[in-house]
Amino acid sequence: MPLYSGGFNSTVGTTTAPCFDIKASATNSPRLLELAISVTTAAASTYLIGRPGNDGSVAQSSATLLQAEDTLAPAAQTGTAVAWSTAPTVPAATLRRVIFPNTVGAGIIWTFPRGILMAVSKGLVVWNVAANSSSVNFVVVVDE
Amino acid sequence: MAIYSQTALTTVTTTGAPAWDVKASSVNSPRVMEIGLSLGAATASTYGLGRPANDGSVAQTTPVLLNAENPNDPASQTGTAVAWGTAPTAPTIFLRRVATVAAITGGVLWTFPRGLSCAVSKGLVVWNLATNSASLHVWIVVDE
Repeated sequence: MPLYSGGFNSTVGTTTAPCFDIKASATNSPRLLELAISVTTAAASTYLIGRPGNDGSVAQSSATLLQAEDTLAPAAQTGTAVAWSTAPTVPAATLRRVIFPNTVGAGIIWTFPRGILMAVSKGLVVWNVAANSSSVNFVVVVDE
Repeated sequence: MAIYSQTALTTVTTTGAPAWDVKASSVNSPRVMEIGLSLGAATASTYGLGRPANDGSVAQTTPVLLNAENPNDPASQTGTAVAWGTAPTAPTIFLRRVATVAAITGGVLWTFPRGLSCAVSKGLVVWNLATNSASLHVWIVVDE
């Protein structure tokens, strides 16, 4: 199965709101292998990852498809977004949670050796648990 | 397949400009296994890694070929550069993105277990997403 990845920036620092999400298409079921966060603007920040409370109903605005790591692989079907017409709602259960110091460059790389499965048309959200950094970088690696 | 690697130092700090690139020759299609960035000057820096928008048209100035990790292997065909006749332009979508702390040795190590492929005559660029460190150490490991 080919790998796909992407690096993105979100400026949504609002507390109790999504700042980034990743979503399977209607015809694929990818596995998330890695998710990295690093903040560009200094702010003590708390993030969590989980499946949105409204998983399956999220509508991404201007979704950006991931990029194939192998130039011979077909185009990705998995999309990411930092804005939504129907935004992800708070996860009922969380998979990862982290707090950063008030320092530019603070970050984390989470790896998932067997992959976090996203069902068809469903996904994962990075959620602002506090008034977070106003500029944060994300990297995702997915096996489709 | 053989492993080749190299280190480089770039002093190109301009925001919205390439800092370093790697490019396949006209007869090879290498896979990047690892890229590391390490700051030599204490400046909070933001970098992106991606395929140049003008991929295939980049003209490196004085490209430096990688070094074989096994001295019995043939010479590398993959070159890196920190200056260009035709410079890489900004990737449309980044594959990796990171913000570093404002401290010497701030940085990141990206690994690509299955290899990030570069098609014939194409490559990857490390892009300055801010006014970055005046001194950036880069290393790369490639499977040719």
